[in-house]
Amino acid sequence: MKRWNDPFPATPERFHLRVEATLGSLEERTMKERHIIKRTVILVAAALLTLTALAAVVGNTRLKDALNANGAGEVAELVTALHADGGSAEGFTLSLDEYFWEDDDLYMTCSVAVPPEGRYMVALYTPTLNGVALRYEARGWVSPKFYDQESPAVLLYGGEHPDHSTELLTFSVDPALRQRHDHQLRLRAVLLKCEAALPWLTDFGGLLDPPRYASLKAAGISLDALIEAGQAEIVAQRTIDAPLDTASEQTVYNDVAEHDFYIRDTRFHVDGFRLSHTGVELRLTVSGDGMEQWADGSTQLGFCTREGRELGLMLSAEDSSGRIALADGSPAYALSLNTHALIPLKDLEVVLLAPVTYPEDAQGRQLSPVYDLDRALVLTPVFNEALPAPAAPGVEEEGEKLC
Amino acid sequence: MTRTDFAARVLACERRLYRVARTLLRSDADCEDAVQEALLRAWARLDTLRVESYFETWLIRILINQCKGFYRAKREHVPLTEDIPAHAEPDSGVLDALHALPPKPRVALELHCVEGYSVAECARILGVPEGTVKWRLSQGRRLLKRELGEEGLT
Repeated sequence: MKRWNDPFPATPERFHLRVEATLGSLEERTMKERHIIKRTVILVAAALLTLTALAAVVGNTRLKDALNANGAGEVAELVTALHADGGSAEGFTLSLDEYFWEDDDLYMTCSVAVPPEGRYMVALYTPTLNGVALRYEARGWVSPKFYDQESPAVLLYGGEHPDHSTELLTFSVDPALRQRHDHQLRLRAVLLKCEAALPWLTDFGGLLDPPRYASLKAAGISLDALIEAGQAEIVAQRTIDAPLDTASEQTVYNDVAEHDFYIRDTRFHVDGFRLSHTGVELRLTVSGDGMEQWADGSTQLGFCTREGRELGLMLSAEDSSGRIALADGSPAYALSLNTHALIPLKDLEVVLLAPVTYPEDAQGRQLSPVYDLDRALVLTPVFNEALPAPAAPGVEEEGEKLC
Repeated sequence: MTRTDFAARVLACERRLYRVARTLLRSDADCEDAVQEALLRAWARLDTLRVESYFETWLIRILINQCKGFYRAKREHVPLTEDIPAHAEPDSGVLDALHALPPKPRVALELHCVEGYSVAECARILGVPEGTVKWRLSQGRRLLKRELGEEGLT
Protein backbone atom coordinates (compact mmCIF):
# COMPACT_ATOMS: atom_id res chain seq x y z
CA MET A 1 0.00 0.00 0.00
CA LYS A 2 1.45 3.30 -1.08
CA ARG A 3 1.39 5.91 1.64
CA TRP A 4 0.00 9.35 1.06
CA ASN A 5 2.19 12.36 0.87
CA ASP A 6 1.88 14.16 4.16
CA PRO A 7 -1.10 16.54 3.86
CA PHE A 8 -0.67 18.02 7.32
CA PRO A 9 0.92 21.37 8.06
CA ALA A 10 4.36 21.45 9.63
CA THR A 11 4.53 20.66 13.32
CA PRO A 12 4.24 24.04 15.06
CA GLU A 13 7.17 25.13 17.13
CA ARG A 14 4.77 25.77 19.97
CA PHE A 15 3.70 22.14 19.90
CA HIS A 16 7.28 20.96 20.13
CA LEU A 17 8.01 23.29 23.03
CA ARG A 18 4.97 22.01 24.88
CA VAL A 19 6.06 18.40 24.39
CA GLU A 20 9.53 19.20 25.63
CA ALA A 21 8.20 21.13 28.58
CA THR A 22 5.89 18.26 29.49
CA LEU A 23 8.69 15.73 29.26
CA GLY A 24 10.89 17.97 31.36
CA SER A 25 8.23 18.13 34.03
CA LEU A 26 7.93 14.39 34.47
CA GLU A 27 8.98 13.23 37.84
CA GLU A 28 10.80 9.96 38.21
CA ARG A 29 8.22 7.27 38.63
CA THR A 30 8.98 6.83 42.28
CA MET A 31 7.33 10.19 42.92
CA LYS A 32 3.55 10.23 43.18
CA GLU A 33 2.87 13.84 42.52
CA ARG A 34 2.99 15.27 39.03
CA HIS A 35 3.21 18.80 37.87
CA ILE A 36 0.84 20.24 35.38
CA ILE A 37 2.46 22.65 33.00
CA LYS A 38 0.52 25.72 32.22
CA ARG A 39 0.08 26.38 28.59
CA THR A 40 2.96 28.33 27.18
CA VAL A 41 1.70 30.98 24.95
CA ILE A 42 4.04 31.72 22.15
CA LEU A 43 3.10 34.27 19.69
CA VAL A 44 3.73 33.09 16.21
CA ALA A 45 3.95 35.61 13.52
CA ALA A 46 1.45 34.90 10.81
CA ALA A 47 3.02 33.95 7.53
CA LEU A 48 2.37 36.51 4.87
CA LEU A 49 1.31 35.76 1.40
CA THR A 50 4.25 35.99 -0.89
CA LEU A 51 4.18 38.34 -3.79
CA THR A 52 3.94 35.45 -6.13
CA ALA A 53 1.02 33.90 -4.28
CA LEU A 54 -2.25 34.92 -5.80
CA ALA A 55 -4.98 36.50 -3.75
CA ALA A 56 -7.82 34.41 -2.36
CA VAL A 57 -10.83 34.38 -4.56
CA VAL A 58 -12.94 37.42 -4.03
CA GLY A 59 -12.62 39.41 -7.16
CA ASN A 60 -13.28 37.34 -10.19
CA THR A 61 -14.24 40.77 -11.42
CA ARG A 62 -13.42 40.25 -15.02
CA LEU A 63 -15.18 36.95 -15.12
CA LYS A 64 -18.10 38.19 -13.07
CA ASP A 65 -18.60 41.16 -15.32
CA ALA A 66 -18.41 38.96 -18.35
CA LEU A 67 -20.93 36.54 -16.97
CA ASN A 68 -23.36 38.95 -15.42
CA ALA A 69 -26.17 38.00 -17.72
CA ASN A 70 -29.81 38.25 -16.77
CA GLY A 71 -31.66 37.03 -19.79
CA ALA A 72 -31.38 34.50 -22.56
CA GLY A 73 -30.53 37.13 -25.15
CA GLU A 74 -27.67 38.50 -23.12
CA VAL A 75 -26.48 35.00 -22.39
CA ALA A 76 -26.43 34.14 -26.07
CA GLU A 77 -24.46 37.28 -26.85
CA LEU A 78 -22.03 36.54 -24.10
CA VAL A 79 -21.56 33.00 -25.28
CA THR A 80 -20.67 34.33 -28.65
CA ALA A 81 -18.42 37.00 -27.20
CA LEU A 82 -16.59 34.53 -25.02
CA HIS A 83 -15.64 32.18 -27.80
CA ALA A 84 -11.92 32.44 -28.09
CA ASP A 85 -10.31 32.17 -31.48
CA GLY A 86 -10.10 28.55 -32.40
CA GLY A 87 -12.12 27.56 -29.37
CA SER A 88 -15.18 25.48 -29.88
CA ALA A 89 -18.14 25.11 -27.61
CA GLU A 90 -19.37 22.10 -29.49
CA GLY A 91 -19.48 19.16 -27.16
CA PHE A 92 -19.79 21.30 -24.03
CA THR A 93 -23.07 20.49 -22.34
CA LEU A 94 -24.62 21.16 -18.99
CA SER A 95 -27.85 19.47 -17.98
CA LEU A 96 -30.05 19.16 -14.95
CA ASP A 97 -30.90 15.46 -14.83
CA GLU A 98 -33.19 15.06 -11.89
CA TYR A 99 -34.01 16.58 -8.57
CA PHE A 100 -36.26 16.06 -5.60
CA TRP A 101 -37.09 17.79 -2.38
CA GLU A 102 -36.93 16.16 0.99
CA ASP A 103 -38.55 18.80 3.18
CA ASP A 104 -36.10 21.72 2.97
CA ASP A 105 -33.27 19.72 1.45
CA LEU A 106 -32.82 19.80 -2.31
CA TYR A 107 -31.04 16.97 -4.09
CA MET A 108 -30.13 17.30 -7.73
CA THR A 109 -27.90 15.64 -10.24
CA CYS A 110 -26.39 17.57 -13.08
CA SER A 111 -24.21 16.33 -15.89
CA VAL A 112 -21.32 18.03 -17.61
CA ALA A 113 -19.61 17.01 -20.82
CA VAL A 114 -16.70 18.62 -22.63
CA PRO A 115 -15.38 18.31 -26.17
CA PRO A 116 -13.57 15.02 -26.74
CA GLU A 117 -10.11 16.44 -27.40
CA GLY A 118 -8.01 18.54 -25.09
CA ARG A 119 -7.81 19.37 -21.40
CA TYR A 120 -10.49 21.50 -19.87
CA MET A 121 -11.65 23.01 -16.64
CA VAL A 122 -15.31 23.53 -15.98
CA ALA A 123 -16.08 26.21 -13.43
CA LEU A 124 -19.37 25.29 -11.80
CA TYR A 125 -20.91 28.24 -10.02
CA THR A 126 -22.99 27.93 -6.89
CA PRO A 127 -26.56 27.38 -8.10
CA THR A 128 -29.12 29.95 -7.12
CA LEU A 129 -32.75 29.56 -6.22
CA ASN A 130 -34.84 32.65 -6.90
CA GLY A 131 -31.60 34.59 -7.06
CA VAL A 132 -30.34 33.34 -3.70
CA ALA A 133 -27.14 31.30 -3.69
CA LEU A 134 -27.79 27.85 -2.29
CA ARG A 135 -25.96 26.50 0.71
CA TYR A 136 -24.06 23.26 0.21
CA GLU A 137 -25.38 21.41 3.15
CA ALA A 138 -28.03 18.80 3.57
CA ARG A 139 -28.88 16.67 6.55
CA GLY A 140 -26.10 18.24 8.57
CA TRP A 141 -23.38 17.34 6.08
CA VAL A 142 -21.44 20.30 4.77
CA SER A 143 -19.64 19.58 1.58
CA PRO A 144 -16.24 21.24 1.42
CA LYS A 145 -16.29 21.26 -2.35
CA PHE A 146 -17.55 24.78 -2.62
CA TYR A 147 -15.87 26.80 0.06
CA ASP A 148 -17.13 30.10 -1.04
CA GLN A 149 -20.45 31.15 -2.46
CA GLU A 150 -18.70 33.50 -4.86
CA SER A 151 -15.86 31.47 -6.29
CA PRO A 152 -16.66 28.57 -8.54
CA ALA A 153 -15.60 25.02 -8.01
CA VAL A 154 -13.34 23.82 -10.78
CA LEU A 155 -13.64 20.35 -12.18
CA LEU A 156 -11.07 18.92 -14.51
CA TYR A 157 -11.90 17.08 -17.70
CA GLY A 158 -10.03 15.53 -20.56
CA GLY A 159 -6.50 14.20 -20.58
CA GLU A 160 -6.21 11.71 -17.73
CA HIS A 161 -9.71 12.68 -16.56
CA PRO A 162 -13.03 11.60 -18.07
CA ASP A 163 -14.73 13.91 -20.52
CA HIS A 164 -18.08 13.77 -18.82
CA SER A 165 -19.47 13.30 -15.35
CA THR A 166 -22.60 13.44 -13.30
CA GLU A 167 -22.42 15.46 -10.12
CA LEU A 168 -24.67 15.00 -7.14
CA LEU A 169 -25.36 18.31 -5.44
CA THR A 170 -27.18 18.62 -2.15
CA PHE A 171 -28.44 21.78 -0.57
CA SER A 172 -30.24 22.94 2.49
CA VAL A 173 -32.70 25.70 1.65
CA ASP A 174 -33.80 28.43 3.99
CA PRO A 175 -37.34 27.59 5.16
CA ALA A 176 -38.58 31.06 4.24
CA LEU A 177 -37.41 30.57 0.67
CA ARG A 178 -38.77 27.07 0.61
CA GLN A 179 -42.24 28.27 1.41
CA ARG A 180 -42.50 30.35 -1.73
CA HIS A 181 -44.86 29.17 -4.43
CA ASP A 182 -42.30 29.40 -7.17
CA HIS A 183 -38.80 28.00 -7.26
CA GLN A 184 -36.58 29.20 -10.06
CA LEU A 185 -33.23 27.45 -10.22
CA ARG A 186 -30.22 28.76 -12.12
CA LEU A 187 -27.21 26.58 -12.92
CA ARG A 188 -24.20 28.11 -14.61
CA ALA A 189 -20.96 26.60 -15.84
CA VAL A 190 -18.03 28.01 -17.76
CA LEU A 191 -15.76 25.97 -19.98
CA LEU A 192 -12.09 26.88 -19.91
CA LYS A 193 -9.40 25.33 -22.00
CA CYS A 194 -6.07 24.56 -20.36
CA GLU A 195 -3.56 22.46 -22.16
CA ALA A 196 -0.77 22.61 -19.62
CA ALA A 197 -0.73 20.41 -16.56
CA LEU A 198 -1.81 22.28 -13.46
CA PRO A 199 1.04 22.27 -10.95
CA TRP A 200 -1.04 23.39 -8.05
CA LEU A 201 -3.05 20.22 -7.89
CA THR A 202 -2.50 18.13 -4.81
CA ASP A 203 -0.43 15.01 -5.22
CA PHE A 204 -2.19 12.19 -3.47
CA GLY A 205 0.73 9.85 -3.83
CA GLY A 206 -1.09 7.47 -6.08
CA LEU A 207 -3.60 6.37 -3.52
CA LEU A 208 -6.44 7.97 -5.37
CA ASP A 209 -6.96 8.41 -9.06
CA PRO A 210 -5.74 11.74 -10.37
CA PRO A 211 -7.98 14.30 -8.67
CA ARG A 212 -10.50 15.89 -10.98
CA TYR A 213 -11.69 18.50 -8.58
CA ALA A 214 -9.72 21.44 -7.32
CA SER A 215 -10.63 24.24 -5.00
CA LEU A 216 -9.15 27.45 -6.32
CA LYS A 217 -9.69 29.14 -3.02
CA ALA A 218 -7.79 26.50 -1.07
CA ALA A 219 -4.91 26.84 -3.50
CA GLY A 220 -5.01 30.61 -3.16
CA ILE A 221 -5.65 31.10 -6.84
CA SER A 222 -8.33 33.08 -8.62
CA LEU A 223 -9.85 32.21 -11.93
CA ASP A 224 -9.00 35.65 -13.30
CA ALA A 225 -5.38 35.15 -12.36
CA LEU A 226 -5.26 31.82 -14.15
CA ILE A 227 -6.68 33.44 -17.26
CA GLU A 228 -4.32 36.41 -17.06
CA ALA A 229 -1.38 34.09 -16.60
CA GLY A 230 -2.36 32.25 -19.74
CA GLN A 231 -2.99 29.02 -17.92
CA ALA A 232 -6.65 28.92 -18.85
CA GLU A 233 -8.80 30.37 -21.58
CA ILE A 234 -12.56 30.91 -21.50
CA VAL A 235 -14.23 29.02 -24.30
CA ALA A 236 -17.94 29.08 -23.55
CA GLN A 237 -20.56 29.11 -20.87
CA ARG A 238 -23.84 27.36 -20.31
CA THR A 239 -26.72 28.50 -18.17
CA ILE A 240 -29.85 26.63 -17.21
CA ASP A 241 -32.89 28.37 -15.82
CA ALA A 242 -35.39 25.83 -14.58
CA PRO A 243 -38.62 26.14 -12.61
CA LEU A 244 -38.73 23.48 -9.92
CA ASP A 245 -41.78 21.78 -8.52
CA THR A 246 -42.16 22.73 -4.92
CA ALA A 247 -43.70 19.54 -3.57
CA SER A 248 -41.62 17.35 -1.32
CA GLU A 249 -41.22 13.99 -2.99
CA GLN A 250 -39.85 11.96 -0.19
CA THR A 251 -40.58 8.33 -0.73
CA VAL A 252 -40.36 6.20 2.32
CA TYR A 253 -40.94 2.54 2.91
CA ASN A 254 -41.55 1.69 6.52
CA ASP A 255 -41.94 -2.08 6.47
CA VAL A 256 -40.97 -5.26 4.66
CA ALA A 257 -43.15 -7.91 3.08
CA GLU A 258 -41.55 -10.81 4.96
CA HIS A 259 -40.30 -10.46 8.51
CA ASP A 260 -38.74 -13.83 9.25
CA PHE A 261 -35.70 -15.36 7.63
CA TYR A 262 -33.74 -18.50 8.29
CA ILE A 263 -30.10 -19.00 7.55
CA ARG A 264 -29.10 -22.49 8.58
CA ASP A 265 -30.53 -22.86 12.08
CA THR A 266 -30.65 -19.19 12.86
CA ARG A 267 -33.84 -17.18 12.75
CA PHE A 268 -33.71 -13.48 11.89
CA HIS A 269 -36.76 -11.38 12.64
CA VAL A 270 -37.17 -7.88 11.22
CA ASP A 271 -38.44 -5.60 13.95
CA GLY A 272 -38.16 -2.36 12.08
CA PHE A 273 -37.31 -1.08 8.64
CA ARG A 274 -37.12 2.26 6.89
CA LEU A 275 -35.96 3.04 3.37
CA SER A 276 -35.79 6.41 1.66
CA HIS A 277 -33.73 8.06 -1.06
CA THR A 278 -31.03 8.79 1.45
CA GLY A 279 -30.78 5.91 3.85
CA VAL A 280 -31.75 2.52 5.18
CA GLU A 281 -32.44 1.53 8.76
CA LEU A 282 -32.99 -1.99 9.95
CA ARG A 283 -33.50 -3.62 13.29
CA LEU A 284 -33.22 -7.37 13.71
CA THR A 285 -33.57 -9.81 16.54
CA VAL A 286 -31.64 -12.99 16.15
CA SER A 287 -32.39 -16.33 17.72
CA GLY A 288 -29.38 -18.51 18.24
CA ASP A 289 -25.73 -17.67 17.76
CA GLY A 290 -25.93 -17.44 14.01
CA MET A 291 -24.98 -13.76 13.95
CA GLU A 292 -21.36 -14.50 14.78
CA GLN A 293 -21.23 -17.19 12.13
CA TRP A 294 -22.91 -14.93 9.63
CA ALA A 295 -20.63 -11.92 10.09
CA ASP A 296 -17.69 -12.06 12.46
CA GLY A 297 -14.97 -9.51 13.14
CA SER A 298 -13.36 -10.03 9.77
CA THR A 299 -16.57 -9.72 7.78
CA GLN A 300 -18.93 -6.82 7.83
CA LEU A 301 -22.55 -6.47 6.81
CA GLY A 302 -23.72 -4.19 4.09
CA PHE A 303 -26.79 -3.26 2.09
CA CYS A 304 -26.75 -3.98 -1.61
CA THR A 305 -28.98 -4.56 -4.62
CA ARG A 306 -29.97 -7.96 -5.95
CA GLU A 307 -26.97 -7.75 -8.29
CA GLY A 308 -24.56 -7.10 -5.45
CA ARG A 309 -24.10 -3.39 -6.06
CA GLU A 310 -23.66 -1.48 -2.84
CA LEU A 311 -26.33 1.03 -1.98
CA GLY A 312 -24.09 3.44 -0.19
CA LEU A 313 -21.72 3.83 2.68
CA MET A 314 -22.56 2.29 6.02
CA LEU A 315 -21.73 5.02 8.44
CA SER A 316 -23.60 4.03 11.53
CA ALA A 317 -22.88 0.34 11.92
CA GLU A 318 -19.54 0.03 13.61
CA ASP A 319 -19.10 -3.62 12.84
CA SER A 320 -21.27 -6.63 12.45
CA SER A 321 -22.25 -6.60 16.08
CA GLY A 322 -24.26 -3.38 16.22
CA ARG A 323 -26.13 -4.71 19.17
CA ILE A 324 -28.68 -2.69 21.00
CA ALA A 325 -30.17 -3.86 24.23
CA LEU A 326 -33.88 -4.39 24.29
CA ALA A 327 -35.91 -3.93 27.44
CA ASP A 328 -36.25 -7.67 27.97
CA GLY A 329 -32.52 -8.17 27.53
CA SER A 330 -32.77 -10.18 24.34
CA PRO A 331 -30.19 -9.25 21.74
CA ALA A 332 -31.12 -7.12 18.78
CA TYR A 333 -29.05 -5.66 16.02
CA ALA A 334 -29.38 -2.19 14.63
CA LEU A 335 -27.82 -1.32 11.34
CA SER A 336 -28.22 1.84 9.36
CA LEU A 337 -26.90 3.18 6.13
CA ASN A 338 -26.64 6.91 5.79
CA THR A 339 -25.52 7.76 2.32
CA HIS A 340 -24.83 10.86 0.32
CA ALA A 341 -25.40 9.18 -2.94
CA LEU A 342 -29.04 8.69 -3.82
CA ILE A 343 -30.64 5.31 -3.45
CA PRO A 344 -32.45 4.56 -6.71
CA LEU A 345 -35.82 3.71 -5.22
CA LYS A 346 -37.67 3.44 -8.51
CA ASP A 347 -35.27 0.71 -9.68
CA LEU A 348 -35.12 -1.11 -6.38
CA GLU A 349 -37.44 -4.07 -5.80
CA VAL A 350 -35.49 -5.59 -2.96
CA VAL A 351 -32.73 -4.59 -0.57
CA LEU A 352 -30.23 -7.20 0.51
CA LEU A 353 -28.34 -7.32 3.77
CA ALA A 354 -25.30 -9.50 3.19
CA PRO A 355 -21.84 -10.22 4.54
CA VAL A 356 -19.32 -8.14 2.65
CA THR A 357 -15.57 -8.33 2.25
CA TYR A 358 -13.14 -5.79 0.83
CA PRO A 359 -10.47 -7.48 -1.29
CA GLU A 360 -7.23 -5.80 -2.23
CA ASP A 361 -5.06 -6.11 -5.30
CA ALA A 362 -1.36 -6.94 -5.29
CA GLN A 363 -0.49 -3.27 -4.70
CA GLY A 364 -2.72 -3.07 -1.67
CA ARG A 365 -5.40 -1.00 -3.37
CA GLN A 366 -8.91 -1.85 -2.32
CA LEU A 367 -11.12 -3.33 -4.98
CA SER A 368 -14.88 -3.13 -5.13
CA PRO A 369 -16.66 -4.74 -2.17
CA VAL A 370 -17.86 -8.31 -2.63
CA TYR A 371 -21.26 -9.24 -1.19
CA ASP A 372 -22.09 -12.84 -0.33
CA LEU A 373 -25.49 -12.91 -2.00
CA ASP A 374 -26.05 -16.56 -1.13
CA ARG A 375 -26.17 -15.65 2.56
CA ALA A 376 -28.17 -12.45 2.21
CA LEU A 377 -31.42 -11.44 3.82
CA VAL A 378 -33.65 -10.36 0.95
CA LEU A 379 -35.88 -7.54 2.13
CA THR A 380 -38.85 -6.39 0.06
CA PRO A 381 -39.73 -2.81 1.01
CA VAL A 382 -43.39 -1.94 1.42
CA PHE A 383 -45.34 0.92 2.88
CA ASN A 384 -47.56 -0.15 5.74
CA GLU A 385 -50.32 2.34 6.47
CA ALA A 386 -51.00 0.68 9.80
CA LEU A 387 -47.60 1.75 11.06
CA PRO A 388 -46.97 5.36 12.09
CA ALA A 389 -45.47 7.48 9.33
CA PRO A 390 -41.73 7.83 9.88
CA ALA A 391 -40.32 11.29 10.48
CA ALA A 392 -38.12 12.97 7.91
CA PRO A 393 -34.36 12.71 8.44
CA GLY A 394 -33.02 15.09 11.02
CA VAL A 395 -36.38 15.59 12.66
CA GLU A 396 -36.59 14.74 16.32
CA GLU A 397 -39.28 12.23 16.92
CA GLU A 398 -40.80 11.13 20.15
CA GLY A 399 -40.10 7.68 21.36
CA GLU A 400 -37.28 5.38 20.46
CA LYS A 401 -35.48 6.04 17.24
CA LEU A 402 -35.50 3.04 14.99
CA CYS A 403 -31.72 2.73 14.94
CA MET B 1 12.03 2.42 31.06
CA THR B 2 13.69 5.50 32.46
CA ARG B 3 12.42 9.01 32.05
CA THR B 4 15.23 9.67 29.60
CA ASP B 5 14.22 6.66 27.50
CA PHE B 6 10.59 7.71 27.64
CA ALA B 7 11.42 11.25 26.52
CA ALA B 8 13.61 10.01 23.69
CA ARG B 9 10.88 7.75 22.38
CA VAL B 10 8.29 10.49 22.60
CA LEU B 11 10.46 12.96 20.72
CA ALA B 12 11.15 10.35 18.06
CA CYS B 13 7.44 10.13 17.28
CA GLU B 14 6.54 13.75 17.97
CA ARG B 15 5.56 14.46 14.37
CA ARG B 16 3.33 11.42 14.39
CA LEU B 17 1.67 12.54 17.61
CA TYR B 18 0.95 15.91 16.07
CA ARG B 19 -0.63 14.41 12.97
CA VAL B 20 -2.82 12.01 14.94
CA ALA B 21 -4.02 14.78 17.24
CA ARG B 22 -4.57 17.06 14.29
CA THR B 23 -6.70 14.42 12.64
CA LEU B 24 -9.20 14.57 15.47
CA LEU B 25 -8.75 18.12 16.66
CA ARG B 26 -8.61 21.05 14.32
CA SER B 27 -7.14 23.50 16.80
CA ASP B 28 -3.39 23.45 17.43
CA ALA B 29 -4.06 24.62 20.96
CA ASP B 30 -6.29 21.61 21.61
CA CYS B 31 -3.66 19.34 20.08
CA GLU B 32 -1.09 20.68 22.53
CA ASP B 33 -3.39 20.13 25.49
CA ALA B 34 -4.36 16.64 24.36
CA VAL B 35 -0.77 15.57 23.79
CA GLN B 36 0.30 16.98 27.14
CA GLU B 37 -2.40 15.02 28.94
CA ALA B 38 -1.61 11.92 26.93
CA LEU B 39 2.08 12.09 27.85
CA LEU B 40 1.31 12.59 31.51
CA ARG B 41 -1.15 9.71 31.48
CA ALA B 42 1.25 7.47 29.58
CA TRP B 43 4.04 8.20 32.04
CA ALA B 44 1.77 7.51 34.98
CA ARG B 45 0.55 4.25 33.44
CA LEU B 46 3.81 3.00 32.03
CA ASP B 47 3.26 -0.28 33.84
CA THR B 48 0.43 -1.08 31.45
CA LEU B 49 2.89 -1.23 28.55
CA ARG B 50 3.67 -4.91 28.42
CA VAL B 51 5.96 -4.99 25.41
CA GLU B 52 8.33 -2.06 24.95
CA SER B 53 8.42 -2.47 21.20
CA TYR B 54 4.75 -1.49 21.15
CA PHE B 55 5.49 1.84 22.83
CA GLU B 56 4.50 4.02 19.92
CA THR B 57 1.21 2.30 19.15
CA TRP B 58 0.41 2.22 22.86
CA LEU B 59 1.09 5.95 23.21
CA ILE B 60 -0.97 6.78 20.16
CA ARG B 61 -3.87 4.83 21.56
CA ILE B 62 -3.71 6.90 24.74
CA LEU B 63 -3.55 10.04 22.65
CA ILE B 64 -6.57 9.07 20.58
CA ASN B 65 -8.58 8.50 23.75
CA GLN B 66 -7.54 11.92 25.02
CA CYS B 67 -8.52 13.53 21.75
CA LYS B 68 -11.90 11.82 21.82
CA GLY B 69 -12.53 13.43 25.17
CA PHE B 70 -11.74 16.83 23.70
CA TYR B 71 -13.85 16.11 20.65
CA ARG B 72 -16.87 15.12 22.69
CA ALA B 73 -16.48 18.10 24.93
CA LYS B 74 -16.27 20.61 22.15
CA ARG B 75 -18.38 19.08 19.36
CA GLU B 76 -17.65 21.91 17.06
CA HIS B 77 -15.95 22.47 13.78
CA VAL B 78 -13.03 24.77 14.23
CA PRO B 79 -12.21 26.57 11.02
CA LEU B 80 -9.00 25.36 9.52
CA THR B 81 -7.57 28.85 9.44
CA GLU B 82 -7.58 29.12 13.21
CA ASP B 83 -4.14 28.86 14.82
CA ILE B 84 -2.30 28.10 11.62
CA PRO B 85 -0.36 30.38 9.34
CA ALA B 86 -2.37 32.42 6.91
CA HIS B 87 -0.87 31.00 3.76
CA ALA B 88 -2.89 28.40 1.94
CA GLU B 89 -1.42 24.92 2.19
CA PRO B 90 -1.33 23.13 -1.14
CA ASP B 91 -2.83 20.08 0.51
CA SER B 92 -5.43 21.85 2.62
CA GLY B 93 -8.11 20.46 0.30
CA VAL B 94 -7.12 16.95 1.35
CA LEU B 95 -6.97 17.92 5.00
CA ASP B 96 -10.36 19.59 4.80
CA ALA B 97 -11.83 16.54 3.12
CA LEU B 98 -10.25 14.33 5.76
CA HIS B 99 -11.74 16.43 8.51
CA ALA B 100 -15.15 16.16 6.88
CA LEU B 101 -15.16 12.42 7.49
CA PRO B 102 -16.67 10.87 10.58
CA PRO B 103 -14.00 10.34 13.25
CA LYS B 104 -13.65 6.56 12.99
CA PRO B 105 -12.84 6.26 9.28
CA ARG B 106 -10.85 9.50 9.54
CA VAL B 107 -8.53 8.14 12.20
CA ALA B 108 -8.19 4.80 10.41
CA LEU B 109 -7.11 6.57 7.21
CA GLU B 110 -4.63 8.76 9.05
CA LEU B 111 -3.02 5.87 10.85
CA HIS B 112 -2.83 3.61 7.80
CA CYS B 113 -2.33 5.99 4.90
CA VAL B 114 -0.34 8.80 6.51
CA GLU B 115 1.49 7.11 9.37
CA GLY B 116 1.92 3.85 7.47
CA TYR B 117 0.74 1.51 10.20
CA SER B 118 -0.34 -1.90 9.01
CA VAL B 119 -3.92 -3.02 9.42
CA ALA B 120 -2.82 -5.19 12.33
CA GLU B 121 -1.09 -2.25 14.01
CA CYS B 122 -4.12 -0.04 13.46
CA ALA B 123 -6.30 -2.72 15.02
CA ARG B 124 -4.03 -2.79 18.05
CA ILE B 125 -4.03 0.99 18.39
CA LEU B 126 -7.77 1.30 18.02
CA GLY B 127 -8.64 -1.80 19.98
CA VAL B 128 -10.89 -3.25 17.28
CA PRO B 129 -10.72 -6.31 15.04
CA GLU B 130 -8.70 -6.11 11.84
CA GLY B 131 -11.85 -6.57 9.83
CA THR B 132 -13.29 -3.46 11.39
CA VAL B 133 -10.16 -1.53 10.46
CA LYS B 134 -10.46 -2.68 6.86
CA TRP B 135 -14.08 -1.67 6.79
CA ARG B 136 -13.31 1.78 8.19
CA LEU B 137 -10.53 2.22 5.65
CA SER B 138 -12.78 1.24 2.81
CA GLN B 139 -15.56 3.55 3.94
CA GLY B 140 -13.10 6.32 4.58
CA ARG B 141 -11.56 6.08 1.11
CA ARG B 142 -14.95 6.12 -0.53
CA LEU B 143 -16.09 9.08 1.51
CA LEU B 144 -12.87 10.89 0.75
CA LYS B 145 -13.30 10.30 -2.95
CA ARG B 146 -16.81 11.71 -2.75
CA GLU B 147 -15.63 14.75 -0.86
CA LEU B 148 -12.90 15.38 -3.37
CA GLY B 149 -15.30 15.13 -6.27
CA GLU B 150 -14.25 11.77 -7.61
CA GLU B 151 -17.70 10.23 -7.82
CA GLY B 152 -21.18 11.36 -8.70
CA LEU B 153 -24.42 9.47 -8.82
CA THR B 154 -23.90 6.05 -10.30
